[in-house]
Amino acid sequence: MTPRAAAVAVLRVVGALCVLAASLCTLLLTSPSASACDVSYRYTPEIKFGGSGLGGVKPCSAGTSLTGTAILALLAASALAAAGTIAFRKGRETAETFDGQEDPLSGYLHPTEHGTRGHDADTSL
Amino acid sequence: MTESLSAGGPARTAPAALGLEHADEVARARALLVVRLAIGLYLVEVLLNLARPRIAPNEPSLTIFWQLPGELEQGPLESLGSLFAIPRAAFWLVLAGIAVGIVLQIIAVRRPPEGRQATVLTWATLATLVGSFALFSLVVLAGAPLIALACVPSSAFALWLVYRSQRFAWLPVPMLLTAFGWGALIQFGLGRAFTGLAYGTINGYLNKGMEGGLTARLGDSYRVLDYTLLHLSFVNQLAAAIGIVLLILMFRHRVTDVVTGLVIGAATGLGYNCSESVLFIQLWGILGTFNGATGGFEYWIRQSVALFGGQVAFGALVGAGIGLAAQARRRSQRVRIVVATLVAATGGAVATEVCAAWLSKMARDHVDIGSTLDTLVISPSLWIAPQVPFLVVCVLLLRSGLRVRLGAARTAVKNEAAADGGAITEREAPFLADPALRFWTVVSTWRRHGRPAALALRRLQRAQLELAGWRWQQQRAGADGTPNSEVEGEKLQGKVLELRAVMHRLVAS
Repeated sequence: MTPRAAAVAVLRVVGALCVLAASLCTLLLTSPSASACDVSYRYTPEIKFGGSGLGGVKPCSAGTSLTGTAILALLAASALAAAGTIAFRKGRETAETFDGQEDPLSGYLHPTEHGTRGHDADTSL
Repeated sequence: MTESLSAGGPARTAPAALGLEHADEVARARALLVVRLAIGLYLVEVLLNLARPRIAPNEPSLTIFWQLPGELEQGPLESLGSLFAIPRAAFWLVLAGIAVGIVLQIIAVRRPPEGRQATVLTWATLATLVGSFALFSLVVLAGAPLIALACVPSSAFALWLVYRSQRFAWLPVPMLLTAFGWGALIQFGLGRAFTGLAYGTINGYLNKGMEGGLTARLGDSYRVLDYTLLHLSFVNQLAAAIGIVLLILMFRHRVTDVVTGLVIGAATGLGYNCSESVLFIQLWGILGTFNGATGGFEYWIRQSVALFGGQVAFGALVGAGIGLAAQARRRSQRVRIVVATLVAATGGAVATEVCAAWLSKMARDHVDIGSTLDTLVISPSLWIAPQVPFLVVCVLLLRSGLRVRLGAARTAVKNEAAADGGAITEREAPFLADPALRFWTVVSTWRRHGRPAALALRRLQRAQLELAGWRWQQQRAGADGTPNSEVEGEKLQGKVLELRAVMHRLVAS
């Protein structure tokens, strides 16, 4: 990746993070009374006596949680697809730099038919 | 991080086969020593529980035999009690397993220490000594089979990512699955077995019974919980370390470096996380009225957004330490590295529990809980925040280890291409050394020649890299040319030539 392309990629990531931060700030401003649900052993439960007995704590609902799970799964799948696309393009760019190879794939799959002139570049990983 | 030879020691003057047998004997002895120490610690836990101060009259000899009062045996507290309790049958079966293990060791002492019989006896002993602890985990998993099934897809995906992260000299899939199984069954079982006893012992020493008011009794309970968590965190990391060491000993002919340890440790942690998730999803589903959590929320935290946190990160850290220690030349250096990583991982586990709970309590001052922001952002963030430094360390270790591996891959591929045999040609070498280029060839072959040809090409490339990995391992071990390793090399070369013929046939058709 050239320095210019890297700079563009960094700017895009920073821009996306700014948008995300702005969205979270907006949510924070509209929901100031957010708190936290218990997760593990050391979270000591808060028992409230209200109405007919124990309870009265509004739960972190299963529906919202599982929606978050589904969204995260989609994001993960998208990230994998994007990573695969980037890897494919990078591989194609590298293959196209091989000398004397009009069709580098055929040269790789059929080396005796298309000559064995190799590309001895120390490819960057 | 520079590559270093694994601790192979001085060149052997004895015949290579005899040397290999001796190395196997040493590995078996080390494996037995590690497991014996763990069993010894468990018996100490039992003795401490027997000797604890009694708080209430008519307390059972061991706190795990405590029965809840009759009036509380109905409703949700019955489930609560059964989830926290150690099944008595499982406890007695563990003791029976230890007894059988001792008998097998007595039999082994009377037989020759080398040969197939000795190997079988060793692995049978190890299986009986630690295998029975899996009962504690199986009780939890069998109590909520649908929840266990729901945790499989996320755990499988994470395990696949861990496997793919290796880039070169891959550990075999059965090894990763064994590590996962160790975490899910043995590590989780050991944690519950030890901590079930420790909780009762600590409670006996710190709880003052009915003295003092409600506030004092609550304070005692929280102190007991704090010490119990410290104990649980340490036992979990120790159990993970035992599993990682046993696996590395079992597969000691493979490459052992930081990446090996990280991957095995992460797989172990994923297994533990899977079993623990089942417990918490079931338990928090019952207690939602009191603590605001639900089963779905626990699934979101433990099997989704924080899947690579918690015990996965700490297991990876422990594994990385053991992988580094395996490369150290001096024994004192190895001990220091392993102790440091155990301390770091234990501290991280305790900090996660305590700091996350403390942050949550501070955030709860506004009283209103359960909003969308809370569910999706605030609560997960508070849980993940204390784990971030450890996750960063794991990522940096992985990055550093992979740099060394990929450099080694380039060198190994070039050396194999220069060797006689024809398994890797000069033309193929640059393609094999570049992961992006390899991926491009497989996808392009799929587009041009179809799926069977692409899969055949992928299998060929994997076999070629396995061969290069074998050559790298030979060079690290000092090329002593043991018969088994030479045979393995020839087998790998034959496999490559066969797969290449299949691939060419599919491409030509």
